[in-house]
Amino acid sequence: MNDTLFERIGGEAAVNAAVDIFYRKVLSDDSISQFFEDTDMDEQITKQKSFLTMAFGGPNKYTGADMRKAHAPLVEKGLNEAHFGAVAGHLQATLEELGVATKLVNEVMAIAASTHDDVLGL
Amino acid sequence: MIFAEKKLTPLDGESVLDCLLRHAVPVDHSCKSGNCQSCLLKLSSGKIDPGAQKGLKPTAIKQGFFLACQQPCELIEAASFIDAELIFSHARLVDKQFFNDETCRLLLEPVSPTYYHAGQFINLKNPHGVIRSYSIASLPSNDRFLELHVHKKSNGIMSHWIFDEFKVGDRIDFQGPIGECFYTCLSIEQPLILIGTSTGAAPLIGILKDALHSEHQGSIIFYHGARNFEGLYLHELLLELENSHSNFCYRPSITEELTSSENEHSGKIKTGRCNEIALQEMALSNTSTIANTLLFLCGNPEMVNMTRKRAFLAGVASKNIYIDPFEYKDLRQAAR
Ligand code: HEM
Repeated sequence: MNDTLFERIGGEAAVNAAVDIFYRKVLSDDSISQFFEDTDMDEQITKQKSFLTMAFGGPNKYTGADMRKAHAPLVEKGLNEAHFGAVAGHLQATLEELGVATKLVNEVMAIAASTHDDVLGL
Repeated sequence: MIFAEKKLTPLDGESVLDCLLRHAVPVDHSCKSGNCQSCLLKLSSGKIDPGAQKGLKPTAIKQGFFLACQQPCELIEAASFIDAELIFSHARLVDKQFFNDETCRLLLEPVSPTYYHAGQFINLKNPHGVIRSYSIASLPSNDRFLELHVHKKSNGIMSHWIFDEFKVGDRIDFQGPIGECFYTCLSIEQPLILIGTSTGAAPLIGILKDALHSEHQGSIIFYHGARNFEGLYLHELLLELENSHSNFCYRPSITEELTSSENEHSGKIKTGRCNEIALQEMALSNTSTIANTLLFLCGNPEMVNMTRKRAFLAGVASKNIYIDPFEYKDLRQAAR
């Protein structure tokens, strides 16, 4: 079992299965939806896919500095610990809804947690 | 930025289109929202933003074409026009009929055969250089001509020209067909919901005819919304199709009240916004049906974008929502 997390979780197909569920949760959560109100849904979905691919340990081009830069405008608008927790919670709930094994869910959550300081600009 | 061998100085964050217009370069354009593809240009050197190639055909991408309205100047070192022959074909107007005072139907005969899907759009360019997008209501397998529906806007330079000056027999340039909002037979069993305001009904009637012609098995519901009864310009046709196809249901609505002389229709025509009525009815159907539904949204951009989001939150899969927002910007101030 030395496949990457991304392969074990199901690769791009898993991202595609998760994206609608995750995005729907985020948009329906009044505590964070204001960050995602971009009128262009296509663009938002592309970005959600980038987020999930990264969290699933998949191929991505983001460095810590990129994460900092991508979220800096949001930090300016007040992005905080609670928002981070909410997004992480929706990620976990999405995976559980899809029946992903607990061990894999934990690995994904560890990757998400590792971006904490960069996302919040700490 | 060098454009067509002239050096232009862009403002901070300016799009290529805005920069060219500010310098009075006569560049074709219409929606300024990245949908209509009329502002296509060609890269000579520099880098294209992925958003400036959204919706382009692979062959166009390979040739370095990009949408000027979506492309920031910063990334472009040099760019130029594309040969008009590569973009425009010609057609002849063979018929012009009025559905009512503010909606007309054009039948166009392309000079060379045109492959299209009902529901896609073409860009018409009139002799004054004005460009607007119009969706195709005809079905290539049944109809000899391209059918377009034009709504007269109170200050619309193109629609006024079409209503008043465009004559049967005249030739016109067109670009396209363009767009992803059409029926595919892969979906034969899926429920279809079509929602359109005003001439948003044009692509939808095309999609409907295509689905019925392909012997679509799933249910089909067409919500057409207009201000008043006159605006339901396909009423008779849609009633007829409803009577002859058991899986098809027509749901008209208007935002004003019916006049007393129209009261005979009160059983069929609801009062309210067509998208609200559709969303309410969708909320009542079961979740597996909703998850499997294909949704087509055409017309007023606010209606389209808002309905798209609410339908998505109600459980329609994002990949199952096809949209055609009719973006109009009045561009009379633009240099020409
Ligand atoms: C849990 C850790 C997180 C990771 C790994 C992550 C990852 C990403 C990635 C990869 C992108 C795409 C960047 C791009 O290509 O432009 C992105 C964009 C975005 N993220 Fe996050 N994100 C996280 C947390 C959050 C949180 C907590 C919020 C807000 C509540 C948030 C809001 C956004 C928004 C609004 C965008 C789009 C920004 C734009 O429109 O340019 N993210 N994120």
